[in-house]
Amino acid sequence: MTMVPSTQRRGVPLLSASLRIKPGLAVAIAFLVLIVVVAASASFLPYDAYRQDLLHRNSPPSWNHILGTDELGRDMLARLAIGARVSLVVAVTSTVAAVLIGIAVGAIAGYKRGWIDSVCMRFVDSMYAFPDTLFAILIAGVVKGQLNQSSTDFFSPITALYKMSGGLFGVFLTLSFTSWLVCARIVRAEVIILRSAEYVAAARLAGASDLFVMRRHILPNCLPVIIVSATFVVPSAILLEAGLSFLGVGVDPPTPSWGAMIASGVRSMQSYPHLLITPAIAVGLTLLSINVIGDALREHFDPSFRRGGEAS
Amino acid sequence: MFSFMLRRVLASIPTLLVVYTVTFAIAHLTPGSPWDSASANRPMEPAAKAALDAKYNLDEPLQVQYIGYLWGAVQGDLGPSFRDPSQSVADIVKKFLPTSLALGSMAIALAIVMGLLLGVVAALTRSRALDTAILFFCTFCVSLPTYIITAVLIVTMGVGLGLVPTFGWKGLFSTSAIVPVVSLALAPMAAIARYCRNCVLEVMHKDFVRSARAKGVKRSRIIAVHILRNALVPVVTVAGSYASSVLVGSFFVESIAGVPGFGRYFVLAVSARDYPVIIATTLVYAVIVVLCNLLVDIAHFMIDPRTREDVR
Repeated sequence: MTMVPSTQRRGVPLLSASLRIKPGLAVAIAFLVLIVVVAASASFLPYDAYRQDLLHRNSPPSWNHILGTDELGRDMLARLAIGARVSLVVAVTSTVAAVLIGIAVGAIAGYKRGWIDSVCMRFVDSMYAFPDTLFAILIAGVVKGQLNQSSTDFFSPITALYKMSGGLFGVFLTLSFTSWLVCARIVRAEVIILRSAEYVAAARLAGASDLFVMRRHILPNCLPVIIVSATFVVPSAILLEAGLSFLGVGVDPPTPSWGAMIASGVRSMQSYPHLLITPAIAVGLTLLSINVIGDALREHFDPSFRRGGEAS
Repeated sequence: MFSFMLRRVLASIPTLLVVYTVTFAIAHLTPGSPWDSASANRPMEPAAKAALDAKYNLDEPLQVQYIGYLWGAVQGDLGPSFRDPSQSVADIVKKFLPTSLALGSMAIALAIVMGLLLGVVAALTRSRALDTAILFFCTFCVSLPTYIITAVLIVTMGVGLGLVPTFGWKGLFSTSAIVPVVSLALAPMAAIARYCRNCVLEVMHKDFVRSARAKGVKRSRIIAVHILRNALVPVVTVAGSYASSVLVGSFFVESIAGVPGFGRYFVLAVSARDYPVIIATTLVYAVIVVLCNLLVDIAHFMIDPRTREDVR
């Protein structure tokens, strides 16, 4: 559907005022902080996420391994922690990149209008006709293949980065390419409203250049909608990363990833359900927390987004 | 009405062209040829490769292939499948799409009915706790990836309780359809419920509802005729935006639950670089998206007389 730009939003209340911390929100923030701490301290855990112990494969939770071991006897907690790091790093970096692309396209389209706007938005609309997960799978195939293959001088730093990151960089590129659409639409709608504001007209009459008006007057005022659009991108990036790794086109093994852990959990879910349950709970609760926080942010910045909380 | 529909159909042609062009580019950018994966250990003779390329026109320049395939597709010839030369892509679509479509329509119907019910109950209940519980349940359903829902449902209902088969497909009207339908339906259901709740809350305090109540119209009639009809407009929009992805089938749900559907076939085709199947499935998906959007517009037309002004 189309975003209905609201005009009553001017004057966003203070963050602390409307984020009266409700119990659900507090739990969500606490859980997310916990995940970040675990992800950051993953290297200091007593167990190595890569060390195999074939005598203790698929063992259920015990004192030695709090969450049990996987099909190669690797500690599940250590793997979950590294997986959290992978998920969060990919989600945050690709959200930043996607939001930047979205701002660029949305701002140019909304500010210039005319044929540039038509071309950009026609393109964005057409991209919505792509299946999002399937499109990500296609892109991931290209990115992975190109990065693995190319040995030209131009690509060699990128290829090196890709190999060093264990496939993370490929997932980052894929997610950035696929998730900027929402952001471009939201930013464009906002820029169209802002460019007709009186202070923008005044600045242009005073001889300010387009770039100056954009930087000083329009983009700072877009910040609330940019944050709102980021609240849609972050959870979908985590979801897509897990989905790609689930299918084996995401992060390369043996680097642990939540999606890949769930995939191997699904393969043995009938005999060793704990291999499925723990990563599933981790992914589920993380996404739930992010969505709860996102709802609160959306409600704060723009009550009109409250209508259900789904973009596109 | 007819001219409006005709205009919408014509307007979707550029969209389909963009989708075709992008998919064509992606498919041919993916390194490697379709004949690599068939015999990874035993590289194919160059002469045999060249013969296969010639047979499927892969030796022609890209622009010739681009036009050639498009010309065939317009006439309903989607080309042969590389992976399984015995059947044409049109046969594959005919074989796998109906299962996914049936499954998806069932899921969307369930999502609309349950979503409306939950949304109306959440909006009209006087119990704050029930409202919060429904909202939380909806956030929960939107957050969880479908593959987690499917896997957890199979572990609990199939392995634990023995109510449904753990794998396989025996048609839409058997117990084997329960898990895939429910896992596909939960996310759209949650989104519909949230939109419906907020709309009902908005409409409830409108003047016409107050007048109806003052006139002594029965409460059930006010809800059904005055409130629900107004709340249906955004619900239809949300259902439409989810319908396309649900109808075409989810790879995750289909592969975990063992449903021989369209979504699963697509992913298999990507890994086999089966160009015609990749392009055809994406095109079929785009056509379904366009059709869903058209259906949404028609539904708006029927539900809300106010929209009829614009479309004439």
